[in-house]
Amino acid sequence: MDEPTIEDWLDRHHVEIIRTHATTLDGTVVGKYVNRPKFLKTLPEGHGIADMALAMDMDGTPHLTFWHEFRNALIGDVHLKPDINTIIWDGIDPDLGHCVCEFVDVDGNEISICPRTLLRKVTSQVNELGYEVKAAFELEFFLFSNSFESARRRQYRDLDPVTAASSEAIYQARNAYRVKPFMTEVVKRLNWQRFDWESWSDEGGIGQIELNFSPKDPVAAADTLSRARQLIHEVAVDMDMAVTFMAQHSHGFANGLHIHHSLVDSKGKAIFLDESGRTDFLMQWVAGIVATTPAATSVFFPTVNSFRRMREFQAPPVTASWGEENKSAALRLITRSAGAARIENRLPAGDANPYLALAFILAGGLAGIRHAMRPPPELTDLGWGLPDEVERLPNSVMKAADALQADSLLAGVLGQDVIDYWINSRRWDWLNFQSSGDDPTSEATTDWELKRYFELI
Amino acid sequence: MTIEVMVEEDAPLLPRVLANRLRCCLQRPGSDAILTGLATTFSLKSTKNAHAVTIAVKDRTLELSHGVAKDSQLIIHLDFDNPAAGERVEGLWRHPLLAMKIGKLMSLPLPNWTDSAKRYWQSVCNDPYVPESLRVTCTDEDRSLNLGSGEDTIEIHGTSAQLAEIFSGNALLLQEVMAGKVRFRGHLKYLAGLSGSGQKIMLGDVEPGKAGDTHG
Repeated sequence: MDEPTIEDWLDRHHVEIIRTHATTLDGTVVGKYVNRPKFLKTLPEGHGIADMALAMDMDGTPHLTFWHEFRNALIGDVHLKPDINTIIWDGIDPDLGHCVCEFVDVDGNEISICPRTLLRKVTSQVNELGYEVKAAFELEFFLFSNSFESARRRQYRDLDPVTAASSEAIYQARNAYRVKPFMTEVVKRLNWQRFDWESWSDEGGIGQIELNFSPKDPVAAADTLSRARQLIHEVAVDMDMAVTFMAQHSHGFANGLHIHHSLVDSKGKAIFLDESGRTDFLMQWVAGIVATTPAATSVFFPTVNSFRRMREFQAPPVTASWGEENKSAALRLITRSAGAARIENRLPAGDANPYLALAFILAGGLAGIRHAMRPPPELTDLGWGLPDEVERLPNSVMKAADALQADSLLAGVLGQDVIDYWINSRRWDWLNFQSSGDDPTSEATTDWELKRYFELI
Repeated sequence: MTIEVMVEEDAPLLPRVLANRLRCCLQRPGSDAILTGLATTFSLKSTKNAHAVTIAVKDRTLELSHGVAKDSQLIIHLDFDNPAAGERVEGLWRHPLLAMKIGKLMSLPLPNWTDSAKRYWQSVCNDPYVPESLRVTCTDEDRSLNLGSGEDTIEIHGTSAQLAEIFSGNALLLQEVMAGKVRFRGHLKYLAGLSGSGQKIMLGDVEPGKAGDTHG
């Protein structure tokens, strides 16, 4: 916010309505359109919203086989507490602004399982070491020339991709040109809302696009990603098109969400490399992330659909591994220059919650530092097609939940209540899928997945 | 001799649920006699969707896996949500005696509701969001059972059959409450806690009568 007070900002931008924006565990966005007097009157705690908003699944079914203390016995309220530093002007609607919020209880206390709160707190733990984190996301999505209504009528199958329908070639000028009218509108709105994007291109999947963002503070980076998903969805609605961020809507390439991060000291100097090469800090940091990767798979691949993406030679790594410039490793170290030295986590699926995924990565790094861990040998080979004795990552919702339950490192940083609630939410999602009537052993995306995830995740 | 009911790794819901049901039913005294000399592989296949399960029985061990195995001697086609609606059996004329034995195995009754409730309570009483005590009222037998002690309590009211299903992990408390099949009085978090504990039993993470983990 570039004004002394929120009132000044609202005056200068002539904003009369504020759309509040909070991200749930599933990564969906909830909030309300709030008029200016109400918005100002309810600061700093924010307006009320049913506590179920943070305790329901993608279908709106309350989480009823597990519990957290923030929930009210009689089904009550929580508040969406605005972070007024995130307020932005819509650009299209002249009266409208947007503000990112966190879930707090009715007394204004933090709720530990709020994804944004969790990421903010983990980032603070890194800051306490004297370092700052810079993070950036690579957002992938599929675009279709059908409207959402048309896609729904077709049950989200046999849709018309915007790019050539027969080729999975990447960086194709002709494909990119076909996407350009849509992306021009996306970029225009991103610019109006002052989101720092860097580049976009057509991706490997048919009708797939990748949009890259500039590195920034983790919470700001996740805010940007979450807002951008919503903005892209809105452009699709306005242009009578359809877009999906679900991991695997069809066969072929899937949506990923690669996450880059680096650490700098108080003077802005990168700490992953020094004159002699990789620092001890980097190696311990990497060791912690690698050690917690099987457990964090539950967050990187949150749904039954996410795991359809985990196939060898299909871009996502399948082992808890790290390697210099190795895109088949879970962690790709990019150390061409000290200033740009960073880690790319190549595991998260397109439907991963950006706040949670980044929080789990940082928590893994912190665990590595606290326990002075040493990483396993670097993966210098291709990470796919390895002999069977090489341990693979959990490849299902239930296996990943079990791995997370068996892990103590992440809980030590994030809190056991967060871990428990997440695990239960994943088992709940699995149970819903298993009870859907669709073939639970199908190798192809089912109708249930398309109906549940195509439009909302 | 103990009976082992095992499920394949990372099994879908159907084999897990069925394994739990068989474990419960085979706890009834004398019920295991049905397994004497029984060595076969058979499958159950849904008439409504793609769900199917294969059960291999040998040496008093039952192994459940998803799908229809090629070596199944019998394939029973049925509606899992309504087994009483009738079923078609492939292989019946080749293996009539086997079909009878399998029919008996698959229709073994659950332990009565009081035994089930006691075993359930033993498994779940230390779980998070489980009250200090539980008062169960059986509406068709007009009697109650108190489990645990303490003022922090809840009540569950239902028929003997519904209570046996819930406490053996064959039905989820919350679903039965929401469907109006059983009644509940108490704090919502206890409904969630008890339902979650029942879900663990249903999925085979905890065996009825044995203490489970303490994760919430």
